[in-house]
Amino acid sequence: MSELRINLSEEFHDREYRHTYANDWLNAFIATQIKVLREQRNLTQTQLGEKTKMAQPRVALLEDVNYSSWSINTLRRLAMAFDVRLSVKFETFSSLIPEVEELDRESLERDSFDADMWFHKKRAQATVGSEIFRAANGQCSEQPVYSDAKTLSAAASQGSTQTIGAGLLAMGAK
Amino acid sequence: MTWDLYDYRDHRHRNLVRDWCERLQKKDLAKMNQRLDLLAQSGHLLCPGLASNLHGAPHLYKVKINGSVAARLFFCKGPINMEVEYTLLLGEFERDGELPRGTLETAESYRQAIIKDPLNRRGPHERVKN
Repeated sequence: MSELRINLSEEFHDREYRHTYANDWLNAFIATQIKVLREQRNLTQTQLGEKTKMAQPRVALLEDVNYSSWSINTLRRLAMAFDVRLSVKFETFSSLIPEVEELDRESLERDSFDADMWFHKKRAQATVGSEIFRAANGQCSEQPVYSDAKTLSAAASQGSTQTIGAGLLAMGAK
Repeated sequence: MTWDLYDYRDHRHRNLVRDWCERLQKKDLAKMNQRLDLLAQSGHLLCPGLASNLHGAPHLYKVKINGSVAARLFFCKGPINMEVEYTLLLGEFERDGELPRGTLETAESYRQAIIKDPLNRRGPHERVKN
């Protein structure tokens, strides 16, 4: 068990202490994540301010672990600017300990929707599936056909909407 | 990557940082321990505002706690191993936005004392518990 874990597991038995610690942690976490998300997108504080209709000094204020007057509306505006969802949840105190232990830049970074590979993989898979269906029903005779695995793979990785399904069928026929 | 925290010790080997932390009220102590945990877990650069640079004292940083009192804890990177250590040097209280005269000079003299005699003038950080 780490020293931090031992310390917090003892100290958190005091109600006032654990709530103060957790509130201060939340302030630090949000301020740090705003800075990390802004830097992940190569934005200056001024540019983030333009996206959120806030002046640069206000962005600087939000990016400070000493700031504590958060509002859900402000966080929603930031979530919109970063193109991520805002999540506000009630949690147990025990769940705080690994959060403190694992805090680093990578743990705070989040992809915007456009960079969120889960959606784009799903879209590529859906395209392949629907094209197989269309090819099987003879609906894509005018589309180019990928007849080998290499070109088919390249098309799939680019999320091509061309007739990948027909390619699969053609390869199956070989 | 985590960082090791050390406390300055005076010539009698007393831990003045621990003595100062013991004067903090419970809420201020919780905030201070939280900041020190952040420092130990992620260093002083990741969390904005965690550590302020000080004009005229290039090797020193300060942790600010604004609670029932304006507690300020001065620390430095290293000063022995600059890659993995921070040393807590001096705690003070601001009154009317002012630190006691000579605070930065005292903190810097503590840093110099550690550089000259690292074995005797510092020890592992002693966390004050509520």
